Amino acid sequence: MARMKFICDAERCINCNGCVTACKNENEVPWGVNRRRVVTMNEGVPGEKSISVACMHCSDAPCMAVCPVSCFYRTPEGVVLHDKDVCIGCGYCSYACPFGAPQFPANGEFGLRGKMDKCTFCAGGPAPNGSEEQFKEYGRDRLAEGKLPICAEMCSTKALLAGDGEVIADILRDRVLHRGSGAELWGWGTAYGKAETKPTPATQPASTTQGASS
Amino acid sequence: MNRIATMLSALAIVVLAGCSQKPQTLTQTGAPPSQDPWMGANPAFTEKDWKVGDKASWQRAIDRRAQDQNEYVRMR
Repeated sequence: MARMKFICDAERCINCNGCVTACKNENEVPWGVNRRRVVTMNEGVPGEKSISVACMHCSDAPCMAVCPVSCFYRTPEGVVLHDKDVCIGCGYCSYACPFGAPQFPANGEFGLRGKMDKCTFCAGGPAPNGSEEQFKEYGRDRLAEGKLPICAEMCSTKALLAGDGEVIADILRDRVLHRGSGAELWGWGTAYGKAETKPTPATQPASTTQGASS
Repeated sequence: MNRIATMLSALAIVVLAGCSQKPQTLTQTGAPPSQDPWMGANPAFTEKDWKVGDKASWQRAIDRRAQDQNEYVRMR
């Protein structure tokens, strides 16, 4: 079974915000809610890097762990979704999420938070596939149409990859082998767990080796 | 006397009804019944390279589409 994941290749992201716009358009996301956003690190400094961030559909999702009404669920494809009919808008998930994915529409009175909204991996929600109800509450169900999330498919530089974890990891591996750099996967370890392999003594930094010997 | 007692009990029923509370038990948690993606959606927007209801063909179609993101394969 596929495990749907996102990869953002920081070597390729040009901060065009095409993914953000595509997501907002495809899912008709209201003003003030951004399911996806582009973050630039060390902006203005040579070597700055941009990454596109949204819900990473974590393997061990912290939002699921803290939700007091258990509105989250994981589909067999590994997509973390939530039921807006159960959500009470408490905001615990937004504090727990390391990626700042949960969004709250600010349309309530007296600062009242509405139902949480987040990236659905273009997989809709608990409502019937492709129904009007599903579109209004969760957006398009592209996965049920045999398509991948619009943010990744619209990415002009293909910095943002979406799909089965093994397939997109192979794509990135292919790229890294061709260009010889940029193997870092931002947020991958946080979302899907770190690799079990430990660095061998030969690959450890020299300062660490010196510190250990002294 | 009986009439007063009847009226009072009727009044008590009406007034005390306000003291009742709706059950607040969480009835729905976890995964709600949801259709699997290989069951398809709106046929007008569905890709034609897989068979609706066939999980294996959906999986192949999704993986093939994911490979469209790999220009090293597309340019071969």
